[in-house]
Order: sequence, then C-alpha cells, then structure tokens
Amino acid sequence: MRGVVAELGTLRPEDVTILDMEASIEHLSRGTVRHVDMLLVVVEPYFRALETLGRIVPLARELGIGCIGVVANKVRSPEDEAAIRDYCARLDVSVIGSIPFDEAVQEADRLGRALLDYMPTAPAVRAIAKLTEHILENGRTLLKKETHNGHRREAEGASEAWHGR
Amino acid sequence: MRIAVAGKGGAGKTTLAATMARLAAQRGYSVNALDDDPNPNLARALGLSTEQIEQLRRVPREEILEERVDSDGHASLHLICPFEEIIARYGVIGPDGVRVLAMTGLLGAGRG
Repeated sequence: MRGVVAELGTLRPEDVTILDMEASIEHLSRGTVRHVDMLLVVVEPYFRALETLGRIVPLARELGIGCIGVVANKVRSPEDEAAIRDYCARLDVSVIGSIPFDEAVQEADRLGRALLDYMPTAPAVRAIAKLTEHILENGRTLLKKETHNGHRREAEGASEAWHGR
Repeated sequence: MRIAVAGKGGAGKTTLAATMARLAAQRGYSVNALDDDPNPNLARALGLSTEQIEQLRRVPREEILEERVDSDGHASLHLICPFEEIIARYGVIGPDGVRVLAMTGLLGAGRG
C-alpha cells in the first residue's frame, strides 16, 4: 500500500494527511510505514494503556518510523501527566501534547457530533489546537530532531520476533 | 506531512485525528483524513452528516491499485488513477473542506 500513502503526502507541501489507524500497529511492515512522517500514539494514564505504549514504541522504531510522539489524553491531574511522562522518559520518547479529561468529548460522541462543532471552546479542543499548531509549525524540525537523536534503529527481524510472541 | 494516529481502543485517537484534521483545514492546509480502522467512525467524528457518511464508499483496493514488478523482481503497489479521482469516486468532502476516505488495510498487508 505504500504507493497510496506516498502519493498522498507528495501532492503539495501544504497538504496534510491524517490516518486514523487500527488500535495497534502489529500488522504494519517496514515498507508500508516508510512514508509515514510522524506517528502519534494516544495514551491514557492507566497502567494497561501505558503497557500498550510500551509495545508500540519499540515496534514503531523497529519499523523505521523516524518521529514518534506521545499524546497524553484524558489527563485529570498533574499525577496523571507525571505517570505518562515518567513512562515515556523510560522509553526515551517525547510527550508531544497533553489533553485534559473533558466531558465534552463523550457528550459530543453520544450525540454523534464532531467535538469541534459541539463545543469549539472545550478544553480538549484548545489542547488539540495547541498540539496541531505545534506539529504544523515545527513538523520538519521535529522530524529531523528525532532522526538525529539516533532513534532510527535497524533491528532486522525484531518485528517478526514480536509476531511470534 | 503524513501523520498516523495509533493507540489502544478507546484512548481517543479518532477524536484527536478528526479534530486535528479540521483545525489544520481551518488554518489553510489541504487535509486528507483517512480512516484505516476496520470499525470506522472517523467520518462521524469529523462531523459529516449521515447522508454524507452513507455516500462514503469503502475503497476497493483492487480497483485503485496495481502491482508493478521492477527489473529486480521487487513488487510494489501503485495507484492506477490520480488521487483526486479516488476522492471524487469514493470519498466525501467534509466540514472545512477535509477530504475523507475510508480504506481498511491502507498501511497493512504490504510487501515490505
């Protein structure tokens, strides 16, 4: 499928392609993620969610995704955010954004509406706007930084080892 | 820029992907939003109407992709027609001009 994603990203420099993926990334292969510039992993401050993150991040690196950013979501307290930041520090991956727990998200979902239409001033929307601007303004720099930090690892066969688990 | 959003089910990836897409479009970017989840709800989260969601047809891979084999025998997949045409045929233009496509396995099941 790489042809599809490659073409999507090279239409024009001002084009942005956002892929809402399956829950995890075990089904990906090295070639197919070659044209993904950035992987955002959304995580909640619960142990099991963090464990999932602990599986996704090394796998994404093995696949050669140069830029990985964690987005802390449904954050209710400074402790919540600290738990995510601590876990990410251990994985050596950066927390690129933090979204507070916001009743408006579930309410919009219950009504089958876009969060942005339901409550454009909701705290979650404001946090996502901040993150979006950060990515759009600093995208190229973020990509370079992550690659220069040496996160591109060439662990051949590592994803096969994962599948065998 | 191509941004993939992953995370445990229920973590909020669809809300994030949809809201990011709309906000980027409002800031003047041309935005494609692709739903690669087998249980798709990105269209709803983007704010498409029920009528538009019904128009959204899951892209049949075999109709838009062809396999090419190079001189070294490596196979790769390519789009048969321009992306604009695929959007016109299967996609929907959502709020703020976000172009929406549903296609399971867009990244998966590749040949590496």
